[in-house]
Amino acid sequence: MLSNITIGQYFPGNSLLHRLDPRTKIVVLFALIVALFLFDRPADYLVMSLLTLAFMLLSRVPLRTLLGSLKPLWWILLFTFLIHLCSTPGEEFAHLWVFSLTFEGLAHGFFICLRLVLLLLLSSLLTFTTSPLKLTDALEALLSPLKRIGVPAHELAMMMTIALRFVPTLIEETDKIMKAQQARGADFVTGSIVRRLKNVVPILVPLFISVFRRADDLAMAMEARCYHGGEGRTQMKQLHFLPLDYLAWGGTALLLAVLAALWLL
Amino acid sequence: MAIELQDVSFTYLPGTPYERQALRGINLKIQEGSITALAGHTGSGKSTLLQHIGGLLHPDRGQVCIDGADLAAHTKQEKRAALAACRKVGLVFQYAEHQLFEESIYEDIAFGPRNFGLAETDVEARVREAMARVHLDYDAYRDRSPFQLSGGQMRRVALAGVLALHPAYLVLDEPTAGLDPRGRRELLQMIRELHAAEGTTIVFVSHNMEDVFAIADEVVVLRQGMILLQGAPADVFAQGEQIAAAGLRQPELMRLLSALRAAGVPLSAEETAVRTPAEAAQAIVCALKEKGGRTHAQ
Repeated sequence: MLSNITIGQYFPGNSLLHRLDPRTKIVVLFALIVALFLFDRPADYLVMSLLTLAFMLLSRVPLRTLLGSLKPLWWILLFTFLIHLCSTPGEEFAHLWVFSLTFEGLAHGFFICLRLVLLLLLSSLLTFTTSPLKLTDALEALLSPLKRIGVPAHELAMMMTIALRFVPTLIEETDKIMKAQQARGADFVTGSIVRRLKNVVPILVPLFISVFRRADDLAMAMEARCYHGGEGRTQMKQLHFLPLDYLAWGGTALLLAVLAALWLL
Repeated sequence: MAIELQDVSFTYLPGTPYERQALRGINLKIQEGSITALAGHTGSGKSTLLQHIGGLLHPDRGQVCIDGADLAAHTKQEKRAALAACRKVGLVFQYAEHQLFEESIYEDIAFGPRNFGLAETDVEARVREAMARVHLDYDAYRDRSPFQLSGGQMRRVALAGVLALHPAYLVLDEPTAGLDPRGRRELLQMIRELHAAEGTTIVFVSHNMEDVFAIADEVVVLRQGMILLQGAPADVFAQGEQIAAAGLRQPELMRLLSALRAAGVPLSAEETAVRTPAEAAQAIVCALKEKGGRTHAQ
């Protein structure tokens, strides 16, 4: 039942993208997203699309898995496209009820959708090639300059780590409780909405109890190990920039510079 | 009438990097009225096998039949037969007390019978009977919250919740895990009583060889999703090397008696396979007397 859910989408591997420092990946992703929104001429889109395609191939994540992450977006894409198609003024090629469909709308809609698709693909590439733990480490490292103005970077990262850590555990737990209640004749699939909602109680109550028990145990275990926040805490796996990372930084900077120069010309 | 598994294979998360084959071509027949133990190291496929018997997982290949009915149904008619077959199996999960949710013990045990569509009078009779089976006083405990009980008592309430369904086959996953020695002994005793009184077929998973040795009359040792050994406990556990290969240990009692035998106490092969401490003590006393007699005679 629930065992088919892959968690945090991480796709283990050892590709170029997997080996890149997570901090680099976050910064580069951020830069590329900015570029995606700033430069909106067809040539720019072409460059960004090719770049995304290159990253997709480099990541060695199966194309199918990558495109699967677009699934939840279909309706939004379709809706966006239709809105742009119908509401952009320009040269009309067809008339539908009160809407005039224009060539400009067609182009505009297409590029907006392309932008969304690229945005999602690039972000999923980050989560596909970076384990959740590395991701939170990187976030902590990138947020740590903000500690000076009172942002609890370590605590935020720790909370995220714990939350991510418990997602699979809780899914497993839910699965187990569901099976146990099913074995006692509970039915979660058929019946009216009211009945089905009522049937959720035998899952939710044990699940809540289990969550609090686990939280309690974890707090106790952390205190027993003298955990007292991020002050003076070191990490087992230090993040190090490799030559590859400098290359990525340089490449991104160059790309942005070229795109900006072309834009200004 | 029996539980039959034919060439059952199962893989978790097929087609992903997390893919893991849990069962590889299992052929197994569990006779009605027997107490069968599934033993094996962590990850050997015990719990997966159990969930197949309970109809909660369906095999990728092969079939699981309860009293001749295939649990993986396709047509509507088959589905009805499969549901009926599933309902003959009472499944008690590991740490079963974690599934309790009702406000009172009565309500929690009544959950299953009500789901099966029983009338309220029948439900009450079932609850009463199930509580007696797990040695909980009906009048004293019926209105108490299950969450105020001790761990061992909560486990018994959960067990009662399944027994109230009158299963012909009781299937338990690590029934004694996390219990203290007394709780363990009591729970095993209840299982034995149930088997004696109702003739319920018992299948249980354990990696505690003491439990297996104490109550099972058939042992199936699993290793990496395949059956490594199968047979009567004394025969299975006598194969020390194979048992070690499966990541298991021989029961303490057997190890003790084997060690005594190796040290020169005249115990026969049958005597090293006795299953209760009392029998063992008697065998040792007899053997020592015999030995003493011989030394005196010399």
